[in-house]
Amino acid sequence: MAPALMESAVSPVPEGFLHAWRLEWSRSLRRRRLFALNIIVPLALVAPIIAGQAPRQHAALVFAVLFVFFGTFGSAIPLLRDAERGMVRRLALLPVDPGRSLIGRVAAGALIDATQLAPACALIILAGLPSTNALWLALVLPATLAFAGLLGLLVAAIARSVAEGALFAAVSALLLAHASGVFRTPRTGSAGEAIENIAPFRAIHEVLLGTPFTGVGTLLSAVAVSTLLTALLGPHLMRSLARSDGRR
Amino acid sequence: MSGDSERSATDGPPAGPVVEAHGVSFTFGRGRAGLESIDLVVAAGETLVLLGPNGSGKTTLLRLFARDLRPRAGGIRHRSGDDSKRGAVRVGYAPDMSTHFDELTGRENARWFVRAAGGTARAADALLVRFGMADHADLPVGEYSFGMRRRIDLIEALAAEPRLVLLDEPTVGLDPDGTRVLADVLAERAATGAAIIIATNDTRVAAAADRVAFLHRGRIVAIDSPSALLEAVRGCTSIEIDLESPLREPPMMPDGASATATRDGLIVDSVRGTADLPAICDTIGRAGGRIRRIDVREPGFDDVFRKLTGESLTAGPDGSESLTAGPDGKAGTGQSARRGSGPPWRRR
Repeated sequence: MAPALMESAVSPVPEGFLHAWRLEWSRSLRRRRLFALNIIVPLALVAPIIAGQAPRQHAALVFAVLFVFFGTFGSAIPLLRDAERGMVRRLALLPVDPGRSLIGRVAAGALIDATQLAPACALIILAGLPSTNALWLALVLPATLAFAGLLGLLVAAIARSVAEGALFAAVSALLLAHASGVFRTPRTGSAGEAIENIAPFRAIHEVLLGTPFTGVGTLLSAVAVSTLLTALLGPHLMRSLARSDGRR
Repeated sequence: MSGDSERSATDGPPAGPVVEAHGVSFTFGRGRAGLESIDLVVAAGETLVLLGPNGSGKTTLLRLFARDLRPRAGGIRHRSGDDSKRGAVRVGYAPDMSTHFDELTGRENARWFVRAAGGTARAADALLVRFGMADHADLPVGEYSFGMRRRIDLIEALAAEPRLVLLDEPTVGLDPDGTRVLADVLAERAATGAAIIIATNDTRVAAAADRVAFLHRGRIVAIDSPSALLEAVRGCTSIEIDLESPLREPPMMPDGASATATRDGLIVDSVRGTADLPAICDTIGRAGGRIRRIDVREPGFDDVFRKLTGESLTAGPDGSESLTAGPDGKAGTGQSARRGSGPPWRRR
C-alpha cells in the first residue's frame, strides 16, 4: 500500500482537506511581503479609529466590514487568480475530492486571516472591549472569516475574472452585512429584525459593539450549512472555477 | 507487499486495455468541431503518439482522456486492469501549459502534486535527481526557465507511477539530456504496464512509439506502427529546394515527380530519388528559378501525412498556405495538386 493511502487510513481528517490545508499555509508563509501587509493594513485602519475615539457604533461598523471584506476578498481573489492561471483546472484533475479540497483551502485561509487580524483585534480589545466579548471574539472571528471565505468561494465560482470577483464580493458582503444589521438599528418586530436574526454576520457586529450578543448560534449554523453545501457541490464549484482560465 | 512481488514475478505487469474511446466526438462552443468519431484503444505497456498539425485535435483528445473535457457523443473508459480494485485509473497528465505554484520551490511543487496524485515525496525527489533538477529544486518555480518548468511538469505527471500517462508536447523546451531522460523514464513506465499517449509534432518521438495515430481536422486518418506507416512512402524521396526568389507557381515536373511550393522554394517528391535531380534542376531553371540549396531526405512522417491528407504536418489550423503542381504543372488538380503549408519539416 502506498504511504499516502496508509495516511488516509489512520487520519481522522480527509486527505483532500489536508492537502489543501498544507498547501495554503505553505503558499501564505512563502509570500512574506503579502503576509506582512495583511497584518499592517488592518492595523493602519483600526489604530486611527481607536485613537480618534470614534463612537462605538461607528467603530464596530467599520471593524465588522473590515473583517467581512478580509474574509470574502481573501478567498475570492486568490482563487480567481489561480483559476485564471489554469491552476484550478490542474487541481480539478487530481484524484482529490474537490469539495474537501475547497473546504481545506477556505478553512486554512480563515485561520491565516485570523492570525493576520490578531494584532488589530488586540488593539480593539485594549481599547476597552468587555472581557466577555473579547473572549468570544476568539471564536466568532475565525467563524466569521470561514463563512466569508465560503461566500468568497461561491463568488469566485460565479465570476469570470478578478474584476468581476471583486465586484461580486463587495456587493454580496455588503448586502449580507446590511442584512445582519451592521448599518442600521431595525425596529422591534420589523421584517429587518426577522432577517437579522438569521443573518450570519450579526455575531461579529454584536461582539464588536461590546453589547450582549445572540448571533453566535446563527453564525455557526451558517458555517455548518455552507460547509456541507460546499462538500456536496464541490465538483460543480471546481468545474465552474476552472472555466475562468478562458479554455473550454 | 509480498503478494505484489509474487504477482510481478509470475504474471508480469497488468495487460489489456487501459483506455478506450468509442465513437467520441467533441464540439467547442459555437459548433466548432473539435473531434469526430474517434475510436481508439490503448493497451498496457503501449506508447501511442498522436501526430497532426496545429488544430487537428491532439490536445483535445488528450484532455478528453484526462477527463478535463467531456465528449459530446460516445464514451471514454479507463480500465484499472485489476477487477478487485474499484478505484479509478491513476492518470499522470502533463498539459501543454506549464502551471505551478510560483512562490513554492520546484521540490515543493513536485512533492505536493505527486502526493495529491497518490505517490510519494521520495518518488518525486528521485525524479528530480534524474531530470537534473537536484541543484535547482529548492529555488522558487517563479525563477525557473521554461525548460526547467517543463521538467517539473513531467516529474509531477510521472512520479506517482500512473497507469495512464498523457503528455502534451513533452519535448518542447527540453534539451537533449532532458529528452533522453524522458525517453528512459517512459520506457520504464511502459515496462511496468503503463499506457502512454503523447501528443507531439516531434517526429523523433513518433519514430520510437509502438503506434502512431495521424489526426487531421478532428479525425484519425491513419493509425499503425511507425514502420507500417512509413512503408506507404518508401521509395519516394523528398527533395527540398530553396530558391533565391519564390516562383509564382510550381513548374511542371518530370514524370514520377510532383512539386509543392513553399515559402522558401519547392518540395519535390520523386519516386526515382536523386536520379531525377538533373531533370528537376533543368525544369526549375527553365521556369526562371535560381537554386540556392538542395536538401535530399528520406521519406518521413510528414510525407505520410501529406500522402494521406494533402497537407503538411506543419500546416496551420486552416491547413493551407501553398499550392502544389504535378507533372501537368497545374495547381489544384488530382492527388498531386494539393494545398500545402508553411515551413516544411526539416531534418538536416
